[in-house]
Amino acid sequence: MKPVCQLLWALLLAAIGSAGASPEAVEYGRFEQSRQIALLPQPLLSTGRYLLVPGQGLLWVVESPLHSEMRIREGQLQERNAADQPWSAPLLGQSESAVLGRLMMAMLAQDQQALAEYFDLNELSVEGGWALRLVPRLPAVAERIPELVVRGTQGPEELSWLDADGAQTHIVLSPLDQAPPSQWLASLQPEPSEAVD
Amino acid sequence: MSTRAGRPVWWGLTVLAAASVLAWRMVTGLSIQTDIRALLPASDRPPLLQAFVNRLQDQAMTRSIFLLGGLDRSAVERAAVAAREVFNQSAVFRVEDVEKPGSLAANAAVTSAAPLLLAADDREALLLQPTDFWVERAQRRLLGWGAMTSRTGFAEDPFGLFDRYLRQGLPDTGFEVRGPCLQKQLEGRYWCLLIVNAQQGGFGLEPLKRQREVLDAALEAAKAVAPGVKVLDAGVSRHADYAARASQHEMSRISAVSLLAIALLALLMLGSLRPLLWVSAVLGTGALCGLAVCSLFFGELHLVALVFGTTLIGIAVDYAFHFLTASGAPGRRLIHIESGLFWGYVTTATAFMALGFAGIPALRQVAITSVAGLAGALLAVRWLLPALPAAWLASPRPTLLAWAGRIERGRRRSGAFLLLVLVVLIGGGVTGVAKLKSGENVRALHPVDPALLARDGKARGIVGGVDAAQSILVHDADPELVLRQAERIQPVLAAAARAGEIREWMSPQTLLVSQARQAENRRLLQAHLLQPGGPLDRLQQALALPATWADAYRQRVASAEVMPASAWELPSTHIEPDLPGIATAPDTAQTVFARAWSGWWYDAPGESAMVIRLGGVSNPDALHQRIERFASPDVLLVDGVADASAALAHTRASALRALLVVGVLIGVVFLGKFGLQMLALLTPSAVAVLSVLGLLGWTGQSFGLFHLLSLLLVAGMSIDYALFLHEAGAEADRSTLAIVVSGLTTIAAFGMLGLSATPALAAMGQIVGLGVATSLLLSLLLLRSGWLESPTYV
Repeated sequence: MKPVCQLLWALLLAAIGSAGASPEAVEYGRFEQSRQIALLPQPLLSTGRYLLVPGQGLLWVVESPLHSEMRIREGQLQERNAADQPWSAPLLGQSESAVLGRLMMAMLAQDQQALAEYFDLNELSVEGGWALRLVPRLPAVAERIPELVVRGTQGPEELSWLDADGAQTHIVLSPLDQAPPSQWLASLQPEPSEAVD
Repeated sequence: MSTRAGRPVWWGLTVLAAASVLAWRMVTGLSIQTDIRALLPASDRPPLLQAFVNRLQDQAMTRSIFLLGGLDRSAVERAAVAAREVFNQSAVFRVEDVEKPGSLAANAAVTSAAPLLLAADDREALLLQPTDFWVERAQRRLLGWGAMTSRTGFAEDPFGLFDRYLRQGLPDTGFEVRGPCLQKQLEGRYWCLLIVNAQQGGFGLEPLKRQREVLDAALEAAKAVAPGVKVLDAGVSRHADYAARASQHEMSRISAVSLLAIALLALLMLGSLRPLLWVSAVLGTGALCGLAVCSLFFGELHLVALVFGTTLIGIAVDYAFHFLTASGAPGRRLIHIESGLFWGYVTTATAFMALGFAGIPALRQVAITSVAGLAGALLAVRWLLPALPAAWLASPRPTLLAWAGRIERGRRRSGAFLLLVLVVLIGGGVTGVAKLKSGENVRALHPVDPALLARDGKARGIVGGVDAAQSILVHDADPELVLRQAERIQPVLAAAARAGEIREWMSPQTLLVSQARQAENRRLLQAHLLQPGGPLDRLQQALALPATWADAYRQRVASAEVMPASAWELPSTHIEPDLPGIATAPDTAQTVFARAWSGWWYDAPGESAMVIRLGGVSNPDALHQRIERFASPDVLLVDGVADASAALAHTRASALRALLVVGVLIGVVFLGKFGLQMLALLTPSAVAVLSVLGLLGWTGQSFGLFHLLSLLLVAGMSIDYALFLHEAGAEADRSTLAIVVSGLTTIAAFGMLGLSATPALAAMGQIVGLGVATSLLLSLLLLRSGWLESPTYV
């Protein structure tokens, strides 16, 4: 990371320090998602970036093949299709939205206590890292996602799950060695802030 | 037998008969009702429609929520299990089994119609959005997290239309079925929700007491197994119970203070407590007769009638005081007061009887209790007191008699002062009346516990959703027609929400789609989604899917079967047409919608009704106007508070008309009997009523039914004062003393009522206290001015 960027990054983190985020805790990276749906001749590929600020929220921005943003802030899941659009709640029930939000946050933050509320956690033996198999405890969740697997060496690096209709999803996470856009951090702070790069 | 000698045997027989009737009615199930709706006149709605409304309101009244919250989920669940056990073991409450209707998408009838079932905003989007919108939406659905929670797969629902229909239609306030209850995580706490329904309906004192005991027991049980768990409950039951207990407490307090005041004044006036026995006998006879006769006419006694009956002590005690202060042997005392007693009773009883003809159940109870109660008191004075030995009756203290004599002998000395007082009171009254507005506040009829209200608000804030205070009832000949009506009203509600008149609404209609609309949806899909080169073809190309996939989806929409209303398996509550208001719930446990929409549908032969519950109604008048503009007799806004207030206003208008007729009648009779002195006799009551009305106007209070009843009491007592003074003849000093003591007793008793926690009762206490004080003052001034001079005296 360039020194100037590092300085800006430090200042920014200091600015949001009141929300409890620490430089070590913030995770900013790139993801590649592959979804294999039985009906489709080839997997659906998408890429984008994510920002996780433990205790604050998660921003998940799909950049290709089309733009789409999702964020979890104050426990609420929101989405929008373009950076200049207002955030809105997806057409999910409050409970679904809350569970989905907590699940994604817990998976990326390796918060086993939160995950254990909804899943039975089974450690899998893998070479050079770790893996967890998550089996939903609630029948309503199990109906849709029979199981999830999280793998990594230090932090989580791969997520995969099987949907009820047979679609297989695989996400690879790669941390970026650079500061996240300031607007991204701002958008996870409690007060409303809409702009994202 | 001479009436003047008394007829104690007749009095004894009357008391025995009244006691027997009351005991018999109590043994055969006479209950005390506290439900305010029992006070109201019958609705002019068709009986079946009113039965739907009654059932809707009953459900809101009998349901309570019981919330348990804490940081430790297992402790909260333990507490919920303990509370649930208490509820289920009681015969008072039943815990609702709430499950999410997850099997809906698997229901064969629903699945076959799935392509035709659209969310409201998707219908709008089909008309407005371009092709790209749909293609991108389908792709985003495939790529985003929403796919994790989708209820439908890409193959059968590529645009997610059915998925969105299901999501939009099912109510979700953030709770999930988990363990022994519905659970929600909020601000770090786990909240467990139990919804309980009172099995023994009604607002009698006993059912309310049992409900409170079970709620308290459930709370204790929860605390016992999990001491750190916070417990909140909310429901009408707690409020009704509090109101009933507060009213009972106030009734006891008013009675106790009245009797204490009577005792003290009797002691002061007569120098002995023994006369209290006779006062008590008169009051007791009155109460017994009032309750016995009322219980004969009505299956249950309303608490308001009882409270009002208690206030009649103020009138009944006058009869006893006049007898006790009269001169001569007991058997001869009636000579001096008989005329006053007769005319006093006739005027008061006539006014209360007029209330009974107003056609309002509660007023009938008040009228019958009052007329019979005062008759009982009068009979006790005529039959019991004259038969008592002279030694048992004390005479008024000479010093007090001398003081009363000074008032009486001071006649014709203060005419100017009287005129000044009259001018001030009438002038203030008339100008105040010009400012007076009429209005009813049904909430003022119940005392409210702020702590209970705060707990309610907290619980409702956690649970979310809509309350049941305001609803729309849509009814028609069959479910299909009901659904069509409900679909027509949706844009009206959406406009009301946009205008900020309501925050939200909940209705099964978001899921249940009429056959007509399903057919319309098919046309919309074929015109805007499936047309050649349209969104479906574009999506097929974007995902490199075979052309046969698009054809198969088109075929699926074309062949989808329209779902008839009968296939929705509505969990309706059946209303028996011959017994309006009595409902039986069929076993709907197996129906698809039973869990989600139980209590939202009603049916009867040839008619069905559906409920739309409104949340956050901030402008009920504007909403009323919207519904009126909608101009469908089949769509009815049900607003419990507004309905009750309107009914009270109707009651007040009826009672006022009846009283005006009676007022004119009494005036004519008085004119015939007393000539122009009628004016002097009616002046204290008329001016007291006018000045109190003026005060209401000046202080910005609305004139309601309870104000009217209070003024009726004021008028009744005021006429008595003037009549007794007029008819006293040579006993004028004694009558003056009796009236002053009676007036002070009344002011003391109603002064206490003026401190009531129930706004309506407090207003009643203040009005009667002030009115009686005014009329007492005026009566004495009239006496001093010689305007109440009777021919006998001359």
